[in-house]
Amino acid sequence: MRKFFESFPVVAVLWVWLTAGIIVEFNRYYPDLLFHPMSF
Amino acid sequence: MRRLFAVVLSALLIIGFAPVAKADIAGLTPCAENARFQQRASAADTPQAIARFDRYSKSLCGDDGLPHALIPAPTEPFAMSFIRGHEGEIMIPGVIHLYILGIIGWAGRSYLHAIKAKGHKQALHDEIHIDTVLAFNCMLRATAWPWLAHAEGQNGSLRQSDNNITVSPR
Repeated sequence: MRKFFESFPVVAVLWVWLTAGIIVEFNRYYPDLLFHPMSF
Repeated sequence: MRRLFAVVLSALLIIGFAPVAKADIAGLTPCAENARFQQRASAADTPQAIARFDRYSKSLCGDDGLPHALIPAPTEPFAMSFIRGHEGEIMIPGVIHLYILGIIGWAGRSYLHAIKAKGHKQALHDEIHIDTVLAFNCMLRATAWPWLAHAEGQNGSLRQSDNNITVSPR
């Protein structure tokens, strides 16, 4: 089982899934970031 | 004499160019004063859209009423002074982007180097079946890639030595 989860295609899918999830959730809470917020 | 030229050139650049460029950046106007942008902003009805137009109103708009992102001209003297207050549009995200690209690249490179040290057969195996602990450590280490790359550049291990590079007979 571990060998399956450590095979490249599975790792790649999990990795992209996780990264996409982080970006989607970030955009949910901080939407429309056209530019990096500047305080000055 | 060389120093004198440098001083004169700097003085000319400061007095001559910088204020002119600062007065009007590429014909853009602040979005808050741009009629077409305001027209578009007044159509916003949801709280999210209102917040978005409020934030974008701090940037500069073109005649199309849309915000334009400013990139400093890298070869221009005092380029950074032209985009003062607009670093968040391209420059900071750009630096973050390059840093993340560097992490990805460096992590992959160091992982390949690490498995190569295990021998040919194991290296082939570890390219298909990822050594996750090793890969994770490579990724953590790669966050320091600017320093690691600098150190490797200094000691010569960043690049392959010339006698390992095949060249066609000439």
